[in-house]
Amino acid sequence: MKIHLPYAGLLLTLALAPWIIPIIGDPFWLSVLTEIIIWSCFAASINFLFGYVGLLSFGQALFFGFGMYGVGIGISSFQLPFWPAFFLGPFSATVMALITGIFAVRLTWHYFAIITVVFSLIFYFLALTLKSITGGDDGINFSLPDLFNFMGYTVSLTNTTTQYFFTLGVVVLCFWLIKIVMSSPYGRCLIAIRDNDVRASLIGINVYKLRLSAFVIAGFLAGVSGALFALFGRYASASYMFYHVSGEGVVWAIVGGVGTLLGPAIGTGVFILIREVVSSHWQHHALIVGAFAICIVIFAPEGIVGLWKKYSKRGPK
Amino acid sequence: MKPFLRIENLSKSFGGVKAVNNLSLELFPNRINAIIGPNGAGKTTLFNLITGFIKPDSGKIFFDDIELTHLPIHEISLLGIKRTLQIKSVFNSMTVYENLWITLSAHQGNVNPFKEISRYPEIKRRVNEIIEQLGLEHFANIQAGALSYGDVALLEIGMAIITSPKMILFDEPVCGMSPAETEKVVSKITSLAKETHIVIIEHDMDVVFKMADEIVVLAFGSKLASGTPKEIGSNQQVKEVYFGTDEVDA
Repeated sequence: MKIHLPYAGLLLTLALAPWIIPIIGDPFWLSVLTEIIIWSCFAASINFLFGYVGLLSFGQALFFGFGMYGVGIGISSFQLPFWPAFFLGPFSATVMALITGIFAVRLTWHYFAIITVVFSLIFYFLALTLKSITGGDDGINFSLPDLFNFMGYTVSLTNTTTQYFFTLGVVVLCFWLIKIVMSSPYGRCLIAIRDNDVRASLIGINVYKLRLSAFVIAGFLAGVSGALFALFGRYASASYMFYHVSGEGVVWAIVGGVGTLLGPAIGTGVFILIREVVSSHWQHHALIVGAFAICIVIFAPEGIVGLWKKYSKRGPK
Repeated sequence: MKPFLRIENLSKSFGGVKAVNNLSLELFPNRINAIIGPNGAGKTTLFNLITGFIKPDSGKIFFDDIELTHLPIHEISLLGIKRTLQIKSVFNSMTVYENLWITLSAHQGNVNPFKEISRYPEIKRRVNEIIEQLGLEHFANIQAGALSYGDVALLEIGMAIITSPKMILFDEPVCGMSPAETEKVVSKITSLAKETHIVIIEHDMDVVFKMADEIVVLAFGSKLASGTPKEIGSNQQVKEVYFGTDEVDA
């Protein structure tokens, strides 16, 4: 296996972040970094569909929400221990992606985008109404079960550094999975469908089935990020199922660079940093975010990673 | 001799227009079959029906006794029926090598999500063989979107033959090509006829009369005539409906 320098460097930096951050600034930035990593996985879910299969979904927040509620309801209603609750999130998101996907991937382009918004809205309003289960707008608050408890020695995500490494581990695993899958025959088939779905079916690819499988994988990724976010914030709320959240993810992925592995993570990082830095000084931070997004789309349509690749031959892929 | 392609009473209408009208047709092996006809005669619609792009209103299509009529596109393709399109169509973001690679891999039904693409030596060997056969060595690692029109057409032919298909449908293979490119493609198709069934749609009459062993003339979605180029060339009815009443220099 080849070791790619940019990947190794990035991983090392992230692994050392809990010790670097207190030296150069407020330890609060470790929480921001945790949040960036969680939302990177969400942007990766959008990129998996848009960048690799050519389906632009504005409904990934639905699966993010199912990931959140899987964990939230699992802990607060079913009193599940940590791991079963953590798996319940991505699991319910994946099942939901399969059910909605059966209908959604029959369509492409704007029709697909619209149906994903519609699904997202249906379940958003359902979650708002079913207050007894979801807590509606207020959401569900819960306290964290221990990660594990071995003969009196407990590890819990209440520790910020533990939380950081847990999140980092899970998300790195997801990105690694994406990388493996995209350099396989399956991944090539997805790219073929993105490029030219007519030709793809003419060479014998079952376009519908593969689009559906990609939709399910993307639902799983969004579910993982939702579950991580529920553990991070210790709550689950219907507001995260709104399509506004999906839209933000789409912008992060596009600005970072769709169709690239790290693009979504970079886009997410840049935008959350802008938000954190600017919002404490100026309440209209969304203005800067918007202007920045427009500039990227006009001047670097392939995103930040595309720009990087253009100016250095050996950028991250 | 048994026909490899049998079409029975096939009909397809779009709105009020009968694109294919109660068409029955048998095509026989070991020869190049050409389908000609004036614009709107239903040639491309016929190809679309055979390859599953559209479903007929009535009628049946058999390939070697397998009924294709209600099969989806990819299943028809996996039976060994390949097609080139009138507007050349390949995977533009992929290199020539990758285009051929995915074509062969997909034909083998390979959707393994965990095995690295570099770990398929047999596919690699076959792809390189085809690249050499087509004389595309210099372009192997160039994105298909950056190729000249003629080379894209060659690549498309390569994608059709890499799977050793049973039948290839060529939809206007030399349309928009320079004389040199036409020459190259015609000789390639002619040599292919030894190993696989070939059906072509073509507008260029010189090419058709030079290549084809058997010609089917369509008009208004029905079969007007069929026979050798010589027979078609001297058929009075064909001359009138298809070529007009003037002299034909075929």
